Amino acid sequence: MLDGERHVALSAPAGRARLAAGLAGRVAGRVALCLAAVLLTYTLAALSFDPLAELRSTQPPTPQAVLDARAAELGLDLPVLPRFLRWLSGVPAGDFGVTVDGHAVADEVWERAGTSLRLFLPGSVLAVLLGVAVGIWGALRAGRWADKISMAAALVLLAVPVFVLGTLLKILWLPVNEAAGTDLLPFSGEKTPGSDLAGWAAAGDRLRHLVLPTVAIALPQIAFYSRYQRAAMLEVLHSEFLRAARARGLTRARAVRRHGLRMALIPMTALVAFSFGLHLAGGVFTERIFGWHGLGDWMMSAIEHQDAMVVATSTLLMAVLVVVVGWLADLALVLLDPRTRS
Amino acid sequence: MTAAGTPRRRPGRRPGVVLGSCLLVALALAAFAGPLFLPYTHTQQDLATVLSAPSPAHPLGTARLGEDVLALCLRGLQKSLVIGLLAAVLTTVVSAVVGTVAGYLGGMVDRVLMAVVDVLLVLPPILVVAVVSPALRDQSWLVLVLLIAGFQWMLTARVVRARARSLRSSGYVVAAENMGASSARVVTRHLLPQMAPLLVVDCTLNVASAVLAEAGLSYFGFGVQAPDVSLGTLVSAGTGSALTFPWVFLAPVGFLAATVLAAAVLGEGLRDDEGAR
Repeated sequence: MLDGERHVALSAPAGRARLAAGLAGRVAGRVALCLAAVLLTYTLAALSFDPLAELRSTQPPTPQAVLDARAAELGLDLPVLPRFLRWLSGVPAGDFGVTVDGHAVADEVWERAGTSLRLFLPGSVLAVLLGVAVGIWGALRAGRWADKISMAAALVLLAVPVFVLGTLLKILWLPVNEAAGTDLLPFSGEKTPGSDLAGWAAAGDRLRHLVLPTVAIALPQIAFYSRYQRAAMLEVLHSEFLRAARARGLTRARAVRRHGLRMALIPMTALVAFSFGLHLAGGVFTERIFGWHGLGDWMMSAIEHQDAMVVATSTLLMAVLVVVVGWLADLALVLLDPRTRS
Repeated sequence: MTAAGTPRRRPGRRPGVVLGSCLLVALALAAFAGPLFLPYTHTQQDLATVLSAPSPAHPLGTARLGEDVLALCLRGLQKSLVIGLLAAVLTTVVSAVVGTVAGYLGGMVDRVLMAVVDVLLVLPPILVVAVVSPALRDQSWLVLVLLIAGFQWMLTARVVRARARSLRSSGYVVAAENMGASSARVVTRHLLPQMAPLLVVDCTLNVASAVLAEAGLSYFGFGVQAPDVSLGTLVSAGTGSALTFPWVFLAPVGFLAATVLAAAVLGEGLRDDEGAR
């Protein structure tokens, strides 16, 4: 079945067009989902927030005229849906509305998004790769001590919330920093503030800041992915087609590499696509624990300041990231599974 | 159904089931009966021994105002357990209803319900709950239970739906339909009982995620509010001094991890049993 279908042609232009149309359709579906999720979050924020509360509680009291002007600026006179549409219509031109204290959201958004990406992407990519590796390694050694220990470790890691893991890492690392007499791996921020490092020194400084939060982001995801990958690989190891490959005279290692791996990786594409949104929460927590001023940190403080447009903007960018990752997972599926191409 | 000579493993035999349920019962006993045996309440302040390390008088040390950390943790464990259990039961009820209805009826109903599931799964549910929670800050913690359940039912609903779809064409469902049973009757009398083992498994695993969700929300100040304490608020309060007075942080973390781990191990054990059948 495998060898037969692998040669089913992607070569025909018609097939390739159909494939492209299929991928485009899934992207359109994901974009619609992403807009619906942003609308939901915005509606909840707009209905439950009281953005003028801070202004009203000032001493001396803010004049009514100022309150009215701010309300008009924030569009509070409009019903929620038109307000959302007005905000959304500005987005393609790079206008993300105004914060409650009157600054343009666009001033800050790209810096925030950059910080989040620099923090979350390395850890997540690492986690997918290591999670797959650990899962496969465990399945090949199923029942042995190494497998049992790594599975137990995964369960324990999943029982510890990310905000605890981050602080635990700090507690564990503190003696090392103290012994070194300097912050070998700093606990907070993206780089040393006020430093005038350049070139390699600056890159090294950023890298040292990145290590601990990356571990905090990656460990729970490694635990999560490895458990599923192990189950998927075990299923493949017990499958008929692998026995058939062995019967044709392939060694176990060769059969697993040539036929097993591909089949075991296929379910992971769907898993990464749908669980990525859940792992984003870990990124938000990590930003707060390690003092990175990214989108998650921004959204949390926006909730504290009752700022619906910042909530909508950060939600939108996170949702876009979810859509992009979903699309990459689709692409990986097409590359891995010839059946999706015919 | 079991073939003669192959004894079926009883649920109690799996190490995970035994370990998980014993640990959960022990934690629940400690949380609800334990405080009776402590010489202090969780609010009692001993200003002479502020932030003191674990000692025979205070086995887990004392907190910022000299409160006994063990008494605080047991009190927090109570709240976390109650919230976790209630939210998990509610989650399972919602997902069972949505999943069976969508899977059994199919068509438009199915498409609408699954679209709702997909939309709610785009973003981390905890962020969406965080958005609404400031407005509900002064409400009772029961609202928190509703919020956690309201944004946690989607994954189980999908699993239930898949199962309901596969059961839809099974003999006894078709027989019931031919005898004129209404959709409501088929769902409540035939599909839901058949899925009870699956629902029990998912409910147990949902306890683990509900306890984690409560801790996460409370950690950022969106969940349980003072003067109530939960494991989440205790971890949050301890984080500030985690590097200087680690016991204030590590004690609630230990209870939190033990609770989540116990529920997860029990759930996985039950699932293996259900799968083996």
